Amino acid sequence: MSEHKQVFKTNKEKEDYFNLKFIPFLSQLYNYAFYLTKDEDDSNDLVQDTFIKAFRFIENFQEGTNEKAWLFKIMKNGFINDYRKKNSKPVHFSFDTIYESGDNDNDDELNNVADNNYLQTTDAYKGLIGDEVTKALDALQHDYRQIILLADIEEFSYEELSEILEIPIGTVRSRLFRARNLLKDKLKTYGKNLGYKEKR
Amino acid sequence: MNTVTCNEIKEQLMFYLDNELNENTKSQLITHLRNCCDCMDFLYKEKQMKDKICDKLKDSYVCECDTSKLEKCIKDKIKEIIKGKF
Repeated sequence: MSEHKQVFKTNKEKEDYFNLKFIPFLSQLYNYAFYLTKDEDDSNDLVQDTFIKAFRFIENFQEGTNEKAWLFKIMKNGFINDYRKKNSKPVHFSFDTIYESGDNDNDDELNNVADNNYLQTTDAYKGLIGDEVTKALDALQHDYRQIILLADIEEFSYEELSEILEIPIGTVRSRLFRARNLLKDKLKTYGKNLGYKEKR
Repeated sequence: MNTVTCNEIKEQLMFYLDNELNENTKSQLITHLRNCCDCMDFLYKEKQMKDKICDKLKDSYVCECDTSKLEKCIKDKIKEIIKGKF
């Protein structure tokens, strides 16, 4: 497989490329950071760390790869690393590993921390949003919630989701299928008319 | 001859709405939909459901906050990295 890594003649060229290709995704990165951390300051830190890592390793970015997906993957892994550090666990992740594919045991860790963050903030959100879809989404396990957000809000393709979440594309399909069906089941349970009615 | 069953079609509709079907499967699905009101109705409801969920999710997930300060901060740090490194 051929790799086309970035080559920059000057720092200015590198900086301009970064500002043009990556900075435009800042708002979307912030949304994802807030989804993960549920804290404004932590979100700001996570976004900054993500962009700085991206800049430091920009030569590894392969032309033709989706910039947004690359940033989301860096952020997801950075979030897991921060969580490990805060919990005094040894850090095994290195930036280079984000190029490796296949199932990732980081997922379980991400599930735990994101679910905990969700549990801590659910009450506050209930009052603010309080609709059936949000309740139904809150009730989903993190990996189901996350894949729905990334697919339906961020509009990543299955291939990009596979890259970000470091799972095979078949798992993307089955996880998304299961997540949406679970969401529909929960909405049916809430018994609200959202355009989806059971046949009688 | 169209041998695809309604259940098989319904399982594929989500992937069709996501535009993630290969051309062959997509073609089979469209042919079936043209001749099956039940599946067409199911597709319509799936689409409606997906759109409503997306709208609601956007309300709660998407932050309209001003990220210009954060952007400036990141750009400043990038400049610092460049100065320090080179």
